[in-house]
Amino acid sequence: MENREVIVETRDLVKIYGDGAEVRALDGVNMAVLAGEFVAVMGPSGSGKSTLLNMIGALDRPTSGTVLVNGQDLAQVRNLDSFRARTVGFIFQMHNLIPTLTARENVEVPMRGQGFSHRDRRRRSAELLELVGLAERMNHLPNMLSGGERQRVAVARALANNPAIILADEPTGELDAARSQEIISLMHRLNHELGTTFIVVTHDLAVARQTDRVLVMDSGRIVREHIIADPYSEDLRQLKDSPLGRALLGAREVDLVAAGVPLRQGGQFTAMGQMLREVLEKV
Amino acid sequence: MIFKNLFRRKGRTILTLVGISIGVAAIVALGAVSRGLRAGFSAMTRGSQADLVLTQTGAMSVITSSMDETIADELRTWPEVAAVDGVLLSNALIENASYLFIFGYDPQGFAIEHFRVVEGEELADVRGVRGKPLLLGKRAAERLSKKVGDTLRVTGSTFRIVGIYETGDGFEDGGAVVALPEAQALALQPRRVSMLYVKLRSPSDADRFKARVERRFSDLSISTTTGFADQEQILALLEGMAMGVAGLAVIIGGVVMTNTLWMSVFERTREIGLLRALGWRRRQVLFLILGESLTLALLGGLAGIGLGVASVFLISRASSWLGAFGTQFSPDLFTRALVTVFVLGLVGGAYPAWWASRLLPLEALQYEGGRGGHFSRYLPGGMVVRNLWRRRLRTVLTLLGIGISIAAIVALGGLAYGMLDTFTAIVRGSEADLFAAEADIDSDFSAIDERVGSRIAARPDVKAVSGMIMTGVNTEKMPMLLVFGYHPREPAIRRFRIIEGEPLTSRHQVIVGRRAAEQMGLKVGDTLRLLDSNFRVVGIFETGVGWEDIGVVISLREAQALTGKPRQVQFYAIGLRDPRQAEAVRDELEALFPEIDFALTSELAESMSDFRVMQEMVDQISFLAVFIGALGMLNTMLMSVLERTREIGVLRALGWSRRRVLGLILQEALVLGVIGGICGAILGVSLGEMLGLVQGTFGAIEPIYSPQIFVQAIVVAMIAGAVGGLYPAWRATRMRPVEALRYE
Ligand SMILES: Nc1ncnc2c1ncn2[C@@H]1O[C@H](COP(=O)(O)OP(=O)(O)O)[C@@H](O)[C@H]1O
Ligand SMILES: [Mg+2]
Repeated sequence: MENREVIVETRDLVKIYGDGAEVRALDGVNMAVLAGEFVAVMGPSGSGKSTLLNMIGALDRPTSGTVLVNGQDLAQVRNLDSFRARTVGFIFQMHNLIPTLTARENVEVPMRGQGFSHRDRRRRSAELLELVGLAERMNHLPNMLSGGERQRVAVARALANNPAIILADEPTGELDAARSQEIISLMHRLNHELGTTFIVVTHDLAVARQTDRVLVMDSGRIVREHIIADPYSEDLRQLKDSPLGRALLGAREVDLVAAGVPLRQGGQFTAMGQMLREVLEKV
Repeated sequence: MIFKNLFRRKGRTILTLVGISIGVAAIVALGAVSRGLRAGFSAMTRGSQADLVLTQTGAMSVITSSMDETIADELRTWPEVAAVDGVLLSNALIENASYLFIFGYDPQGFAIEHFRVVEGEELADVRGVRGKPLLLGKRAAERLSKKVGDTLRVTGSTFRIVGIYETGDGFEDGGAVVALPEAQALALQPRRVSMLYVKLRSPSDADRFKARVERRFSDLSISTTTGFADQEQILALLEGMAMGVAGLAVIIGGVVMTNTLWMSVFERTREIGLLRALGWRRRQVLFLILGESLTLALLGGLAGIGLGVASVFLISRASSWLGAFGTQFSPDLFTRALVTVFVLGLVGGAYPAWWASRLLPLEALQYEGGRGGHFSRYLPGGMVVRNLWRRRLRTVLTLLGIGISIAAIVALGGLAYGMLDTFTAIVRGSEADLFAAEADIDSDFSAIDERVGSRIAARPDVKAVSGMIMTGVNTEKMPMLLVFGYHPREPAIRRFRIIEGEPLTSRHQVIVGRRAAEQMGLKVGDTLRLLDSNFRVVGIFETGVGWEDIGVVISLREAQALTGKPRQVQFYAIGLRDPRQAEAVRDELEALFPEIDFALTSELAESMSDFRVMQEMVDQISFLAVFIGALGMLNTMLMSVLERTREIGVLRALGWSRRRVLGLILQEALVLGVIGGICGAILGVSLGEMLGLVQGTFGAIEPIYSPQIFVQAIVVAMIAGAVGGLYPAWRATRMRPVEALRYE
């Protein structure tokens, strides 16, 4: 966690809607997200989650306060269109694909006007659809795809210009548990393979549990923050999966824990856990 | 529920209402104008206190009707007749370059009595004023800001306004009255009148009188003063035009209506599924949608009636010509508008309503709203073409609206060029180098004194001069027979190649075009009656120019008598000794005779005022087409932008710039415009060809489609596209991404 830089930061972010009956959708939000982090935002309906995401994605301007992306104040960014196209990718609750375009053409939409040649676009869209496992369905229209497949196209589309950050607003809201898990796993894979930062709004605890950190919002403020896991958990998983690790540990983590091995405590590794990790590192 | 549904989408409902109401307004306004015209003519004849009206059979309007004054003298000797008054109507150019209706009346007659003078003197009482006396209508006086004692210049002559009259009829109050001989001189129709008012000794003599007139004058029509308006062909024409425009307006209203209902049904598919799941029956759903459509139509109809009344009011204030005839709104006009609207509502709503009612509840509940159709992904042209394909019906209807307008341009343009070509052929065939017509006047009215001809002929550089006259005459067998007057011994007549019989040599002879002879069933040796004179057919000719082949040729002298222009010709064809000097000679002649236009035969086309008028007409229709096309386009594109609000939000969220979104929408509008233009051009050519098949004057013109017409049509279509697409496109770019994404 130490060396990674902050990629998104908000300072005293306030957003007020309406003139007469004012709605304080955001009421002084301070938060920071590290590059490569996978963050969930939770909270009741109307608590300001979507509004926060819209501010970060430069879809709307805050009433006051600042949003910094890559250290740059969004209020100073001249060409917001180009910022949206290149720096962030959006995934919406409803897939929001263009119904007249095929999966592949939908993925190409954000690339238009960004200096890609026609051939580059074709190549990249094919690659991305392969990445999300839809190589076979490239030329299908959205209404010929299932809900999960559509959302995967939306993920590929969000990746089109290889953005540093992907903002997903309830991406699994319309899907069943199995489909949700597919999408979340996909996002995790991308988070690892490409190092893309994810900020995901969700109501699904199962989804939230798989992220690095959960921000809980209520009435336009961030009221709590949970760290689900720390950077070592991944290494532990690797250790767990390797033959050596299995031999070393002789059992899965749960078994060790069940057997009373104090691997961690209060979210932190114990000395024992730390030691095991270092041992593994040397192998 | 119906009202709630309509108010859910206020913007769309208002747009629909505007679309429908414009159509209805067109029906109401045009109807009111033609009715006003009818009322004007009726009031005029009824006001005359006459029992019967005599006009020339087959004349398009009383204004083009023409007959010999001496008929009145003969009628006065009949025992049934108490009094006869001849009246000449004409439209004259006045000092401020606008037109004024001039009524020529006998100042001592009975018919002039209904011009109640409210200021100044009666025409009959005038003594010792300078200039020719004139009575000005009250509305004309207001329009021209003239008072009693002022002067008024009418086509070159100066008149003194001696009185202001008011009859209460807009047509009359917008014109002027002068003594009959003055009117005849102004209209270049000496001793001719447009109509005769007849007062009978006893109303019971009417039938006997009618029978007698029919026996004695075969080319006169007789009507009662109240039934007169029914005879006016111009009314039929105007009413036909009103129907045409109304038809177009209904198509556009239909586009709008169908648009709206489809959108409304599609976006509520899930809701309809829910209603069905909750136990609604098919019929209930059907009636719900139909109810919405009829409500919309009815509201639009009412708004349209208001708009129509208002625009007629404004037009009659702004335009002196239309203002001259009052306008009239009758209840059946409103009924017609409402019936149209009702049909529009039923037709526009029927298919969407049926579609909605056929939905299975389950299917509708699962409906996702993605309707590309599996076929659409094979379409070339990317988003633009697919978006148009997505709403095929709407696209087709919009194309229809644009296409019809463009078709009008192409057909009319083709006819204009065809006419021009025919005319050029006539002139070229006369083996002339220069061509002379009176300057600044429609060639129908051109009149050049024969003395001018002799002076030109006397010049050493001129080889020959041929005078000619061209006029249309109503005959029994052909409603509008073209009559050419040529001098039998001048060179220009040679172009009429005789294929049967012999050429024209003397008076009372006529040579007949091949097609005219076929249509009228004439052979060499037969007799042809033109106006009041008989002519013997001595030959049949053919020139290959359609227009000439449906006409006849008589001697110039007799043609002059026929048109009431003694010693005057319409055109001169001038042959030069050295054709290479044509330009120099033309410049000299123009300096010598400033009142006459001289044109090189090779350049005649562009200089002909007829052609210019025709061109102007095409331009005006083009303008109208742009307007109507743009309106349809505006509606379609606005709907399209509205229904894709979310989609546009997504595009913006994905980083599309405003300019890119603008480009997408504009491209769609332009594609629509161009396709509409092409369809319209094809339709126009077929229309032109169909007109060519019609017998008569139109049939004689072979339409010619120059590339210019098509360029004009396509440009018009594109302008319609750009104009109609611009606002929706601009609107699309103004939407803030977040708002657009939240749009339900
Ligand atoms: N465009 C808007 N106009 C007015 N109020 C809005 C708008 N967008 C959001 N709100 C209000 O702001 C609050 C937060 O909304 P939102 O961020 O969408 O909540 P969440 O995504 O957490 O459900 C809500 O009370 C909502 O009604
Ligand atoms: Mg939300």
